[in-house]
Amino acid sequence: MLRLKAFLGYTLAVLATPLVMVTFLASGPLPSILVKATGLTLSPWIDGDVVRQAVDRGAYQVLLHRPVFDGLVGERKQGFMQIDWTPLSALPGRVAEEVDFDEDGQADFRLELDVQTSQATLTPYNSKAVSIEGVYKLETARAVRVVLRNPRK
Amino acid sequence: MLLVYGLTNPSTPCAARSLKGRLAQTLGRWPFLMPLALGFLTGLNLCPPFLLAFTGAAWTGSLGLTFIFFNTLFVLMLYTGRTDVYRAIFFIVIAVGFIIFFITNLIEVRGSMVLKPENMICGQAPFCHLAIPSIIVPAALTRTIVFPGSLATGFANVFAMVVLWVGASLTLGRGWCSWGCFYGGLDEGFSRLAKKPRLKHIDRRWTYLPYAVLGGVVLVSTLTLSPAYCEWLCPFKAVTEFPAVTSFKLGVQTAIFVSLFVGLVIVLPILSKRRIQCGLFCPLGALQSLTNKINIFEVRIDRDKCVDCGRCISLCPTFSLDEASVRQGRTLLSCTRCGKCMDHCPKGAISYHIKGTKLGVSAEKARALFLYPAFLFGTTIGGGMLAGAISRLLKLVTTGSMF
Repeated sequence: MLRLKAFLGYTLAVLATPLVMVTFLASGPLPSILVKATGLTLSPWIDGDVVRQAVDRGAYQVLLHRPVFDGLVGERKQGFMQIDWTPLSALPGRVAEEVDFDEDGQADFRLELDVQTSQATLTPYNSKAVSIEGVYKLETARAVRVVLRNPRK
Repeated sequence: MLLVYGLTNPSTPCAARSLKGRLAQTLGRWPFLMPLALGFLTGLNLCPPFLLAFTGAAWTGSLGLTFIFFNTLFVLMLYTGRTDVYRAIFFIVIAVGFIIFFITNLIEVRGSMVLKPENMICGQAPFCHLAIPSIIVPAALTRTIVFPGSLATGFANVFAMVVLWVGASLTLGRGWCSWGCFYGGLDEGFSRLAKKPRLKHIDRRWTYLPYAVLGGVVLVSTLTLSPAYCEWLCPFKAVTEFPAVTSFKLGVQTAIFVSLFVGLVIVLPILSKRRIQCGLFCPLGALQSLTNKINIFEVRIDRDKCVDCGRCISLCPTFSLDEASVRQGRTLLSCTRCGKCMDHCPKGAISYHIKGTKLGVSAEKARALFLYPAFLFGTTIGGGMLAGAISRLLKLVTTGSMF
């Protein structure tokens, strides 16, 4: 038994060096495989979640993301919604959009954005739209996040 | 490489000694071949950071300097039998190289060290291993990663770092903290500045703090679905990247980063000659301690040789030895396998050991079997960054600018 344990010990110890090499070699291709296998995604609190609706405004598009209320268990009372205007090169000096985030057929707020100065103005139509969280200058778009109250809470 | 080591070091009962032959004669005749052979293992590899730095650094000769530096230290480590002194040089230089490489790259790509909200929304923050405790439980419960970085593409993506961390945990256990972590060298460097410690007595109860920080970080990250350690407690934000101070909250966070860096990485290590951040605060270090349980290597004390002088206890940089553990012939779970106790033990009672093997019979063999993967891991993770840093410094000297 002692000899077997020693043999296994030395075997594992010898394998440590090739394992280090395999680790580094695998650190290139393995991440993509792991992402697919685990189905993990970036938190919606970080990337603003998926685009739920794309509104065509001729030269440019307005991308309405899914409202984010995700909590550890269930939903949170407060969240946000990201709205993108893209492509940057086709945007006029000022853009505006009325948004119905809870899809009840009535607009919940109007958002205006000065593209040059990145100043945004929120006009809430009810108490569900709280404030502007931030305006972001993305590579190909301008994005605004609006803080929202969860209508289901 | 084990074969090469065994053949060129006659005092070592290497596992491969029986294979002596023409290679032994060749290496015996031309010993310089050994560092060359080692170069293939310690430098020429396909890890992404290395290849990234390779493209920009090769022309300046920094790659050659990195090879020479690594191989010289490793050969010295093997031939002198001293581990910690050469490991520390290697470890500190890697940390300094990382800071130079990382900051200059940030300034070149983004224009400053500031992490803008736009970078976070687009998942452009480089992921580092210290954030791992923050993401594990939220990932398990919500199937999302609560870190503003790329999941699988680009430099320092989340899963690449997780793969490296798993590999390091399996091969080195908490040895990662003294061989692979590119922040640890800063702590270590400052802990070696003073000749004698001014702060001699540190209550042992402080050694539980990293576990408390780990628990707190996991809990807060899970409840808030955000990387709590990165947002509030990481001292290394002060020398890498940090959010722009645009609100009171961000101002408080920045003040905490700077205070923790000055306190835990500079002042307390200088005063105590110990690695305070690594030993008494780092939550990843606490998590990494648990991996020592599944790792095949350990550090053991031969009770027949030990005279209970206590030198190892007073010198251990991460508080991983106490009277009780020495009596049992073992280190504590937090041991980082740095080798300092071995180098300073007057009786040579402390050595690397392979679990399952008889104690004291083949200490040199165990040492060699640990040093190869440990050094290989460190050089691979830090080699590209060091070559990049040397390249920047050479540029600075020759052109007056690092960019």
